[in-house]
Amino acid sequence: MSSFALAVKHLSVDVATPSGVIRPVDDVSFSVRAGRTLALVGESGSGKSITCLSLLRVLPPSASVVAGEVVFEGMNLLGLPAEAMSRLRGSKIGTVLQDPHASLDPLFTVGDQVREIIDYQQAPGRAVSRQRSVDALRRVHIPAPEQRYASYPHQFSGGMRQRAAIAMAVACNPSLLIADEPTTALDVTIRLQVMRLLAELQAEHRMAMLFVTHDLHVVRSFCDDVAVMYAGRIVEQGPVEQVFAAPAHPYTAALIDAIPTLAKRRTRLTAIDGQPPSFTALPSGCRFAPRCPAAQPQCVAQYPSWQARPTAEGSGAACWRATEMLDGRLNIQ
Amino acid sequence: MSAFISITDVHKVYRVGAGMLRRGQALQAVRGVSLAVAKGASYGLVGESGSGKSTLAKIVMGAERPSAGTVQIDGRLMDGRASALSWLRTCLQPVLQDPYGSLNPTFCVRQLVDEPLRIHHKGLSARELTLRVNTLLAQVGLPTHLALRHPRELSGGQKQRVAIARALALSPQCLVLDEPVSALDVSVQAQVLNLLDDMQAERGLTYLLISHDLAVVAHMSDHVGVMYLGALQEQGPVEQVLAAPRHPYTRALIAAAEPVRGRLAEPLQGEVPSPLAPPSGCVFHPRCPAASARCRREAPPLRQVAQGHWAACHNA
Amino acid sequence: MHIKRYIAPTFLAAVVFVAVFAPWLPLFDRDAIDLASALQPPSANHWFGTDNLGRDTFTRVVYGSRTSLSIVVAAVGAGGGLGCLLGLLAGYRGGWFDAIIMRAADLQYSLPPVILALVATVALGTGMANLVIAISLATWPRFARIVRAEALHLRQRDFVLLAELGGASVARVLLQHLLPNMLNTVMVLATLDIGLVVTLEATLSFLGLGVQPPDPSWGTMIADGRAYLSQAWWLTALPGAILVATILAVNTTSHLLRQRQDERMEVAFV
Repeated sequence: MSSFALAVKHLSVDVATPSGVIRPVDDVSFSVRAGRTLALVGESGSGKSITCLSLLRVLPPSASVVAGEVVFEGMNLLGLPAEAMSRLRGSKIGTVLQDPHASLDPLFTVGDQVREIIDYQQAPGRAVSRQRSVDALRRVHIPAPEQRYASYPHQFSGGMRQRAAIAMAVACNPSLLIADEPTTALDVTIRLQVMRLLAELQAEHRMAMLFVTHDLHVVRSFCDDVAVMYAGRIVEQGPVEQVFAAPAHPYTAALIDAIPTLAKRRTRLTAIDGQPPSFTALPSGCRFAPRCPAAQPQCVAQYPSWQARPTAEGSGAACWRATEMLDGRLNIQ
Repeated sequence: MSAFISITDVHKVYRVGAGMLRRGQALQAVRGVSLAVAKGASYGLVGESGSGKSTLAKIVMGAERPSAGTVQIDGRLMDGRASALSWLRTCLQPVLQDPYGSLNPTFCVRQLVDEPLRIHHKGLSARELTLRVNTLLAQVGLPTHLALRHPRELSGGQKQRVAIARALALSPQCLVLDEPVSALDVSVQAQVLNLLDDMQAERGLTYLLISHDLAVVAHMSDHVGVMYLGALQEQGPVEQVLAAPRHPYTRALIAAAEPVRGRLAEPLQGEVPSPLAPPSGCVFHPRCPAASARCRREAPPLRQVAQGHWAACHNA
Repeated sequence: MHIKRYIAPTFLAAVVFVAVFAPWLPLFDRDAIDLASALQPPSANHWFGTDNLGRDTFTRVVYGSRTSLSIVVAAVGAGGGLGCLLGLLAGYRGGWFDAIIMRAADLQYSLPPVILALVATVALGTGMANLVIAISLATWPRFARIVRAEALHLRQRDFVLLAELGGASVARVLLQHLLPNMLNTVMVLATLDIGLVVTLEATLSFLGLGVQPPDPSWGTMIADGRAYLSQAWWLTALPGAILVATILAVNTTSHLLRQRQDERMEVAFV
């Protein structure tokens, strides 16, 4: 198991809302290998962002982890003292968020913001930390990093800001990078540049990456493994090629069919009818059953047990009909 | 084939930082765009932020006046007069990106959908209004019992359906769709795209679709126009443009729309320049892998490269 | 916890009820002078004691609340209404209209409201109507400024653009699309204003420019009681306590209303 940089086991998170306590993350397990990228895919409200926040231990006060563990380099992150956790964030665990406008402080120069992290984590002395932050800016291909060091975020374009945010995340050579929708707010051509940059940094440092996204194009072209979340639970997990070629869960299959592509011109898209259930009124059986074209009485009655995919270790789907899906006996179109 | 929307050499200049004494800097949001959309067809405009596609959409929907050039809708010149505008409002309706921001949060669904009717058909009785609202809701696939809900009680897809029902209330001939699905989740996005397809088939609507997502444009439209820094770079029938793109920017957009595994190697360098200081010559030359000295000097005109297929590139 | 939430609204409801139905309640005669029982401390018979003319203080506080509350409703309505209208127009229209309204508001903002109302009452003369006008003149700029800021913000939202493109008239945009969306803010402003208006009314009446004797108001009662502070503390302290409690109750109630609104919004979020 040492090849796993991050292993999340049976994580559950409760959130207190005015209409009662809900569980937006329910018994979630996945693992990321060193040097590989796991995509955590889901639609809004599927619980993927709350999962990320709980790994980083930055949940809002109304939310709390009620079960599970998060193993990173042999330590359970959920049991660490707050001080040790705050040391880990920024050094061993880097984070990139969706909105590059919000992740940089407008009152400090970009270089100083990178340096602050290095100073806090390693305190190598003023000259060294400055040099290292210039290096970090260079590594994310910000042109003329010595001059750009003294620029303020508003002098940067959106793409440059996201590069600077990535520089902050990788300044201390983390072994795990958690990226929450890092390309969503960017234009398509810039998105490609940022993805290429992340792939390059990952290869250089053998970083493990947890890539939270809703964009299946990004998952298919960029990630190694994928975990699909629906209504707070992981419904399918496995290597990207296998999952895209032969999804084992009807939800995954429907998602793949629902994206418009250049090839699918003017054909009717396979929409999933209805909408995800509310966390205050979850179905007792499979949570996708009310929308599933292949639902059977068993699906409504009982939450499906995990059905392993024989071709890849640790992969499979939470669906009673997964084996039928994989055999090709069940075609949900 | 008559053009329903006909735009001729439209320019839009904004003054940035203008005050009482300063004239401010000129920002050319749209520079000399001409295009025509046939009745009953869909035209997709694609481009990144700063390409001027949304400004062009605002001009077509009558929210902005062009600084130069003309817009004709169904053969009628939009000269900014009140009579032209009030006519426009009954035959062309906008659907905007953000279903959250485009619905008044204090209105219920019924009020949102019947507001255009109450403004333009003042004589309608309460019963007739209810009847019409219910018909519209049924057409966009919303159960009637949602009529008394407020936007905050609806999901994103439901909100966008309400926005579409509202846009259809006056039975317009044309919808201007400004990023109609980009704020929605994938599965819901497909529902809304299918709905827009159905509405077009049922009512013979003309669509002007604005999107940053080439796949959405390819899915919905017959013709596509690619905008960059305020100008059309390429336009033509969708199949043709996708199969044989003539402009390097179009090629880059196609590559970025569906990146292929292991071939992330050749993204477009650099970023969109500021429209306050556009590059000389071809506006795309600083990012173009094939730029020559001529491209830096001389702006290529939009010229026909095949039947109905136009591109603005010296090398096309 | 839940019971606590009802204290302020209940108190407020009681004050309003008593004020409205005062003539039908078993109270003493408001103006009946009985020098024999002057300056009596609070007792089972006279809950708030009696004043120097032997009038029942509790009865006068109740009748005073009728005067004070009607002034509050009229002044908040007039000042708030004027401020909202000007603020909406200024924010929506912009340009020279906005500039003029906002400079006027700034000008008034630079003077304390008490001074302004004071000058206005001196110019207009005393009397209920003039008092209301004077108070509204002092309070409209607060509404105008904040409503204008909200209007500027809301004007950017797509639904306003869609309403305009749909051919909605200016009145429709202002009253149907902008105003309802800032009702929350306006309500908060109004409740904060109630406190200010009660204080202004009390101050002006205290100075003899507001409500004229023998009509009681909370301000005049506190002012009159001041002369007997050493012998009869209840003449100032008890009406004062009711005044303070009412203002607190108004603020707390508005806070609760806002909280409920926020909670309703939040449910949609998760």
